[in-house]
Formats: sequence, C-alpha cells, structure tokens
Amino acid sequence: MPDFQLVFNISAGAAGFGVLDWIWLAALVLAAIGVVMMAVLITRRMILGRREARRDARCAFLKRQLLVCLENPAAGLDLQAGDEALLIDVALDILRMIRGEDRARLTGLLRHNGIDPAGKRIDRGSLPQRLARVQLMAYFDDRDSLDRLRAALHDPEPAVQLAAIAALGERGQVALLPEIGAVLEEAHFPASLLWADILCAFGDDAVPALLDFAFNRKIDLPIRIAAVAALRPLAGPEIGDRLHKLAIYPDPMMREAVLDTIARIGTHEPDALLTAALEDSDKHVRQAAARTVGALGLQTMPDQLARRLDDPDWQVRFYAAEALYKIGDRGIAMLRAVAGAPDPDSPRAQIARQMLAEKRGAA
Amino acid sequence: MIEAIHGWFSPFAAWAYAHQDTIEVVALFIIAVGIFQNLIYLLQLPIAWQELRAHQKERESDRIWKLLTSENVPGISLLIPAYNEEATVVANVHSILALNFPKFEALIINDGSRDRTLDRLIEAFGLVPVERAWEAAVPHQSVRGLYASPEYPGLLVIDKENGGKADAINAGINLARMPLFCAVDADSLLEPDALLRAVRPFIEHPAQTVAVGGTVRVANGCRIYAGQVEEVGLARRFLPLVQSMEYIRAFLMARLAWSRLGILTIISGAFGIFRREIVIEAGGYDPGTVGEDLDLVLRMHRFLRDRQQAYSISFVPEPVCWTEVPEDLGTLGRQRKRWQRGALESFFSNRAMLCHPRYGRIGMAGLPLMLVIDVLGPLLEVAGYILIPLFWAMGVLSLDFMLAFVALTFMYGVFVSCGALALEEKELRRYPKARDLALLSMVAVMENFGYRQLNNFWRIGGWWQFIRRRKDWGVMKRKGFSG
Repeated sequence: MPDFQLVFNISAGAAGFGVLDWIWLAALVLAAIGVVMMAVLITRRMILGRREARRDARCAFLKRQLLVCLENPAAGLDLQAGDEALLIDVALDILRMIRGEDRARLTGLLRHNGIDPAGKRIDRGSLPQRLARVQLMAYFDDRDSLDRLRAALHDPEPAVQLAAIAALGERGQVALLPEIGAVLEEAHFPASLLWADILCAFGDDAVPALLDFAFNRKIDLPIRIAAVAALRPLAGPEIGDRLHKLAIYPDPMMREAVLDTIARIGTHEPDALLTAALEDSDKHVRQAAARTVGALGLQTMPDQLARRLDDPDWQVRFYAAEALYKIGDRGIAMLRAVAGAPDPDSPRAQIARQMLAEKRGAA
Repeated sequence: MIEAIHGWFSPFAAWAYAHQDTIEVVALFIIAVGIFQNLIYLLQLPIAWQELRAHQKERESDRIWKLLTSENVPGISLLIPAYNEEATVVANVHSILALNFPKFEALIINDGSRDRTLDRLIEAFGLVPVERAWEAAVPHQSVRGLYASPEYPGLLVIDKENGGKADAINAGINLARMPLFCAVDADSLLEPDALLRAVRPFIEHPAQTVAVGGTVRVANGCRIYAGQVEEVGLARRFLPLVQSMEYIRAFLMARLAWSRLGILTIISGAFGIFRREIVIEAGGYDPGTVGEDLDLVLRMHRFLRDRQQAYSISFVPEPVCWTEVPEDLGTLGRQRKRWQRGALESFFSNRAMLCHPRYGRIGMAGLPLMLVIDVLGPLLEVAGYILIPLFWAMGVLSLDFMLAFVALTFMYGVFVSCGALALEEKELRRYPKARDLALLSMVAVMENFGYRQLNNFWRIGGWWQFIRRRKDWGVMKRKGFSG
C-alpha cells in the first residue's frame, strides 16, 4: 500500500471535529431538511386538498345562487362567514360576461348582501384581494366606489393604479381622463400592449383626450402609441389631420401605429402621407404603409406600390402586392404585367406571380 | 474482502505513489467541479422561487379574459412538424384548433412521411390544394404542395420532402403569416390556455421579448380525452416517474432561475414561442444539429448581442405542454444520448461567445455554466464514479472519506429534488393528489441510486456520438395518447 493518502482525506483527529465529520453532518442535515420538507408539503397538501375541494364546491354553489338571483331577484343569497372573497371572484367572472340591466342587478344584489368594494380601504389586504376589489368597482355605478377608484389612481402599487384606470375605463369615466393623464405623466407603467384595450374602453367620447395623450411628450412613448392604437375602433377620418402630424414622429413604432390606425379609420387626402411612408427608412413603417394603401383601397397609388415590389424586405413586397390586388383592376393589371416581365426570377416578378396564384386559388 | 480488493490493486499502489501529485489534482478537480455544480443548484432554488412568486401577482382569470377579448394580442402561427404520425395526427390537429387564443393559424408540416399522415389530414379536414405567397427566408427541403381547408380557415398543411424536424419547422417559418410562431412537437399536447399564458411577455414587454419558453410536463399517467389532459396523474412505472421529477427540476428550477438572471440558453423544442422576424434574421433552425432548439436560442443570443439590440428571452412557468416520455430503457437511452450530442454540437458551434465580454451575461455566465453542467458535467461525474472507488481500491483514499463523499453527493441530490418539489407544491400544484407528491418524494430519493449514474453513462454515450459526428435521431418508440 502507498504510504500517503490524499490531503483532503482528513478524519477526526486530535482537534476533534474534522473535515470528515463535517461532511457527514452536512449530508445528514440535507437529508433531514429534505425529509422534513416533504413531510410538511405532503401534510399541507392533504389539508389544502380538502380545503380546496370545499372552496371549489362553495364557489360552484355561490355561482349557482347568483345566477338564480339574476333570474329571480326575490331569491336571496345564502352567505356564510368568509364568503366575501369567494363571492367577489365568482361575481367578477359573471360580470365580465353580462351587460346592461343584468350587470346592474348583480351589483345591486352584491351590495344588498353586504359586498361593497368601496366599503373597504383599497390599501388593505393582499395584492390579489386589492386588485379584485378594484376590478369589481368597474361594474358599480355609485359615487363612493368612483371616489375609491380615483383614490386608487394614486396608489403606490402600479398594478392597483393600472387596475383603477381599467375600471374607470369600464365605467366610461371620460371626464377623469385628464386626471388619468396626469397620473400617466408621473408614473412609469409596463409597456403592455393591453394599454390600447384599457384606453379604448373609455369609449367614443374619449377620442379628444386620447389624441391629447398621443401628443403628450411627458407620457411614456409606449402608452402614447397605445393611445393611437386605441383610436382605431373609436374615431373616424375627421381626426386624420391630427394623426398626420404624428406620422412623421421620429420613433418608427409611433409612425407604424399611426398608419395602422389610419388604415382602420381612414383619412382625408392620404396620398402624400402614404407616398412618404412607402419610402420610409424603417421596414415596419413601409409594411404598414402598404397595408394601409390596401385597406383604404387607394386607386391613386399603384405606381408607388409597384415601386415597393422591389423592396429589399419581403414583407413590404408582399403587402405591396396584396395592396395592388386589393385596389382592383388597375392594380391587378399591374401585377400581371410585372409577373410576366422578362426577368421571371426577379423579386418583383416572383411576388407578383405568387400573389396572383394565391388570390386565384382563394377565389 | 476489503483487504482482498486492496490486494488486487496493490500493483498499482506504486504507480499511485509515483503519481501522487497528479492523483491529487485529478481528485480535487472532480470534487471542485462537483461542489461548483451543487452550488449552482443551490443558487437556482431561491431565484426560481422569487420568479415564481412574481408570476402569481395577478388574478389569472382576469389576465386571460383581457387577452381573449383583446384586439392587440399579436397573432401566433403554430408550427407542428409531423413525420409518420398517421395514428395521432388528426386528434392532435383537432386539439390544436381548439386552443383558446384570439388570433392563430396552425401549420402542419408533413415532413415526407412514409405512412398515410397526409391522406388522413386530407380526409379529416377536407383539404384542397392551394397556393400561398411565401418567402424562402430560411433553407429547407422542397415543398411538394400546400393544402388548406375551406371549413377550417386557420389550418394549412405543408407537404414537403423529408429533412428532419428542424428542416420542417424552417418550412413552417417561411410560410407563417403571424409575427410570432410557436413550435410544438406532434407528440405533445398543449393546455387550452397555454398560448394565452405564454404570450404574456410579448404583451408586457413587446419591444424586447424575442422568445418565450413554457413548462413541459410528462403526460404518461395522465388521463387524456380528445387531445386534452382531463386528469393530471403520475405514471406508475419507474422510468416515466423519474422523468416527471427530472422535468420538474429542469423547468421549475433551472430554466426559471436562468430566465430571471437573463441567461436562459434553451427553450424546449416541445413548446416555445418566438418572434418570427428575429429567428429569420438569426438564420432559422439548423437542420445539421439534433439540438436544434438549444442551438437556435444560442444563435439568437449571439445575433442580438452582435447587433447590440436590447432583448429578452424568458421562461414562464404556467403554460403547460404535456409530452409523452420514453417508457423503456432503450428509447430513453437513445433520447439522452441525442440530447447530450445536441448540447455539445450547440455549445461548440457557439463557443465564440464563451467568456467573451461582448456577449454580456450570456458569454460570461450562460455559456460557462453550460460548460460546467452540460459539457464537463457528465465526464467528471462518470470519472468520479470510476476514480473515487479506484483510488480507494488502490489505498490512496480511505473508505470513510469515500462513503462520506458519496453520502453527501446523494443527499445533496435528494435535497435539490425536494426543493424543486417544494416550488411546484407551493406555487403551482399541478399534481392534485397528496399521494402523487409522496410518490415524487420517493422518486427524488430513489433516482440517486442507479438512474442518475445510468443517465450519466448515456450522456457519455452522447459524447462518443458527438466525437464520431453522428447526425441521426435514432428510433423513438412511442405508445401515443390513448382516448
């Protein structure tokens, strides 16, 4: 046998507790932690499993009761202690899917049974509970809940602020948009694409305020872009002139959003704007411009579109070819001419041929 | 007995004495890398927990409702490559078409199947040949034809020459019309809300997010009906059970933690959402590798870092894709060798990023971690299995030390697995029964005795295949989803 052993092979010696003992101790501690952790988790699961089953059954019962009460307002809710949070959850799921009188009847029923989200301070409870109360207030129409929502606009938690803005939108509180604008100027929210839906919920009367948001440089750019997107289902061509100014904004995402909005709402005299946009340095803006020409069916622009059939970006070529097809006979004739050009492998000839084949098949 | 073993190895003792320094260096190196690996796992647990908690803030039903009713959710093209899937393809397509998402199209890519996959699709969905304008942006084998259904406007079937999974997805990328695409394995099932949950980072950080991975779980043992998991359960056989534990550890711990730190290097090929434009610019999938999912994510990192573009590649824990895992050792071994080969191919083809400050966290942390865990990990672990007992047999290592070292390694493995299970139980609770949890706890212990070692030997097999430049996928035996 060799007369050496590896240096790290130190067993308990005169010093007492050696490296080897520490290793064993660590192994035992890890094993003990693992065993205890799993024992706790399994026990907890057994308890929670029963509790969750009871909760699910209670939720189902409350849902049935709410639906019965909607049909028959004389029927009362049979509530127990601790039902409030469950009832809010269940009610929220139902409220999202109903409108008008049903909604008013359900909120009345909730209030009648002591579920008044405005009755509690918004800054109390866990975040999900607070959010649920704010969301529920979207469906109430009383002054107290409105005041609570206004207070929630200034909550230190951005998620609560966001939920309050969404709730005010759901209530169509256009008059509060200037106040919301001031909040947006000060706070920094995530750049969620859902901002457009939240702002859109304020309805047709919100168009001037949304335009103001779009031009307000103190508000974060993604929210300004969302304000432009929110105009799509709300506005008409009369706001086109103001949007034209944003179409030359330095940020390409804003230019793209403006063009997509114009594609939906239309505008007066779009040719100059779209001709410039088709030559934009950003490919996404050129794509949006081609889409817009197609969506508006502008028969005055086939030459500008035809130039884009040579674009280095395939998507621009595609949208230009599609727009040519959409604008009708003149555009289709142009596509046919390009498809039969002497150089069949050129990008313009290829996309023209592909577009004609696709549309022929679809027809 | 012990004396006898020492006796057999006594001729080597003199050699050991002569090479004492070398032996010490080798042993210390193995132990140091083992400790480093274990520290990494220890680090992953709290980070993953933090990330999981951050995901639980908002009411899930509210978020899903908002997305379902939104006009502003980006569209997704689902790309499903199918090769000889005649038995399951129709059910899978039905389940895909039933997904909850406001804007999506499903592209089934028949990758030159030799069975009746295409015929089954044509019959089931009344497909007719169509033309579609598309860009040859990324390379793939030639397309033989396109088929669409008048009844299902969001369905397109691409019939192409066989070229492998990566090649098939490339064809799907070229023909996709949505800004995002989601690559899904034909042998996997998506939960109805999986896309709604997974698309969240693209909604919340639209300018930065380029790719998102979701959790993949083991479907063996679940009750499946009409292409949907009706009841979540665990398999009763050891191999799928132990893989359930591995998937929980890999997805809920490692990927979640790396995602939080911004060093995620892989998005599972079974379920991931990508921004199509960026994937095209990065060159699409590489049909020349079997680790095409890992390779793509690494190349995206490289491309975006080279372009100095702010971006995020993240992982969301909730979206669930259920996949069928191998139930026999042969198939599992082939799969693990292939995974290891894929990891090595991807690592070495992107080695330029390793410890290169230009590539930021991914170069300075992501790739080095991959080197330690995926590249050197199996070599050193197997070296440990062989050398530590050998050193003991040669008499240069005491039995006490060997046993203590082995006990610590095993207990640490058990502890890490229990930690991952605790995360699962605390935040997600996808396995509803207490006995499932108890079963997984037992597996967390048992896997350390035999399975873990076997897995590492398979990974060495993957190394060998990599050295021999094997490129094939190997035969994968699957039972398919019944019901």
